[in-house]
Formats: sequence, structure tokens, C-alpha cells
Amino acid sequence: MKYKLFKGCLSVIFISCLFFYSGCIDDCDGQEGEPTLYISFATAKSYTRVYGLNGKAKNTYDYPSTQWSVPMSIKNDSTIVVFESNSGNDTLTVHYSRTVKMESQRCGFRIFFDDFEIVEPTTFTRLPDLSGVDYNNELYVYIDE
Amino acid sequence: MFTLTNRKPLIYTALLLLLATLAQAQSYDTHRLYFGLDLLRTFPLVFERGYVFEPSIIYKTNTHTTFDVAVGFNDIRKDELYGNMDYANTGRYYRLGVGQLLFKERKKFNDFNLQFGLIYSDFTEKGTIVFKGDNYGDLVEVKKQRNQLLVLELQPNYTLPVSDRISVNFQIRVNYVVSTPKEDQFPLYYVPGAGMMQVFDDNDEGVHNSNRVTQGISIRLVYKFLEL
Repeated sequence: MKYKLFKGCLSVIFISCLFFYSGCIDDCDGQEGEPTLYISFATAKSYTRVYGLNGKAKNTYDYPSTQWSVPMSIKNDSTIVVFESNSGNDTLTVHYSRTVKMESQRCGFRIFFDDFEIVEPTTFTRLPDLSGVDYNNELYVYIDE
Repeated sequence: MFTLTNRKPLIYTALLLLLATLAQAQSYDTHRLYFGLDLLRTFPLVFERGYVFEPSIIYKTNTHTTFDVAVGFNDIRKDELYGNMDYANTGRYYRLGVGQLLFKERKKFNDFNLQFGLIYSDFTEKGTIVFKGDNYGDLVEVKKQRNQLLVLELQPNYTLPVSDRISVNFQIRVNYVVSTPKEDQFPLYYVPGAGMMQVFDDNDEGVHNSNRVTQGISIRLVYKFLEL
């Protein structure tokens, strides 16, 4: 009887620890790497390549789309997005500030992004208002074109 | 063959040597100067790399008072402190201690002392954080903070003689950091001469607090180089 009770207590402690530990991991998730910039348009655009200037990834596309995504630079205060198409190129420059601060002793340091704005060089005329990077490390831009 | 008259000087010399040896072994009521070198701090076990070098001079009076002066140098490294920061601590410290024998009389195996000390520690902590950027490149952020702190120390210690000149000094150290440390970049982690700060959890305002009291043990190798 005592042995069963001991086993039961041990199981409860073990499962509690698992929950506690998984909670710790979740707290620090989604804060590493480069944030993603999602650019949405009012109408579908036929860009063949959309990429961040000075970045490694240069994805090619062969179909029209209303939404495109590129990684944002954590190394610089701005990311220049180049939209290539057969009829010409477009450019969108997002400027922001970066602050590296300690979030907690467990999760360590994190980059905090703030003060987002669209600046030159940008070829789009109907510029959006920008919000901050959300919890999932994503920034959304809507261009009414 | 030795005659009695020939043996006399030998006997007197032997007696003199015996008396001198006994006096050396049993009398501790002399002024003595020692050189000490901390052993545990030299190889700081909780850090991945680095060293702490703490030589000291100890002066013991015939009234069983001890004056202990030490200078310490440190350069230590710890990986992945506070989640993602590589930690380095470089600096120096000065320690002045005054102690007294806990017994009335100093004998060979009763060398228990209680010592009070004042430590001045001047050090720079550097934290390097590397954020991986797969597309545009990594961001390397370096955070630095310098502190000059006053620390009070209470140190019970025991000296175990190994030979006439060499002994081992076992210490228990309880330190209190008097000065308010600057920890605007990250919580203060290690105070050279005092030890680890045992950082509290973050409070609701996100302010990091370090424990002002530290404790530890130390072992010092001591060499007597002068006796008056």
C-alpha cells in the first residue's frame, strides 16, 4: 500500500516537472533568428524574385501572389526588399531600431525591435502604417496597390 | 675511541639541537612571516576557463594576532551564462585581514583563528551574445560593466602544520558586498575576492537583483619564511 502511494507521488512529481520544464521552453521560443517581414498587396503581383538586399536567400516565383515574405536583418537597422519582375523592379525599405536587452535569466538576451517606418528608397506610393514585430517575431506590411 | 672529554662537546651539541628542535616544534610565541598561495581559487572549478591568482603575506605576532594581506588577479570565462551570453571577468582585488587566535595559547594543532577582512575589488565583466542571422549575417553584441566594490569578510580558518615551514590553511569565507554594484547590462555574477553573487530571479519590474552575501571555502598553502 505504502509502495503504491510512493509510486503515485513520484509519478505526480515527475509529470509536474515535465509540465514545468515544457513551460520553460515555450517561454523562450520564437525569439531567436531573423524576424520575418510579410508584405501583402491589395491585388496579386507577378514578381519573379523577391528578396532582401545583401541577403543570401533569393527565392524565385512563377505565379502571381498577394503576399510575399522575406527575413529581416538583425545586423542592420533597415531591410531593403527588392521585388523583381519582367516589367521592372520595386523596392521597399523598412527602417527600425534594435535594442539588445536581457529578457530574463533563463531566456537570456533578446533583440527588441521598435520605431518601424517605411523610408527611401521605396518605389511604392501608397505607404502603410506599421505596427511592431508581434510575439511570433513577424512584421506585417499592407500596401494598398 | 672517544674519551669522556671528547664526548662532552658532542653530547652538549646534541642536547642543544634537541632543545632547539623542541623549542621550534612547541613554541609558537614568536613573530612569524608567511607566504601564502590560494589553491582553490587558482583553479576556479565553476568556470570553463581562466585563473585566479592570489598570493598573500601573513604576519603572526607573538600575541597571536594575524595580519593577512593579499592581492588577487583574475581572468575567468564561463559559457552560456544567462541563457545565451558568454561571460568574461577580468580584474584584481586587494584584501586586508586582521585575525586573532581563538585559543589562549597557540599549539601545534589548535591554530584556529577568526579573521575579519576588507576587500577592494576592481573588475570588468564582459558579456558577448551572438544572434544567429542565417540570411544577412550574425549580430554580435558586447555588453560591458565595470565595478569597484568594497566587501567585508568574516573568515574562520584553521592552519594545519605539514612540516616546520609548510602548512595548509583551511578557510570558510562569508562576505558582504557593501557597495551597490552597477548591473545595468546584466546581473552581477562574480566579484573577484568575494565569489559568486547568486543572482535573485527577476522581479516584476524586470530589475535584476544580486545577493549581497556570498560564501565559500578556500584552501591556502602557507610557507613560513621568517621567524623572529
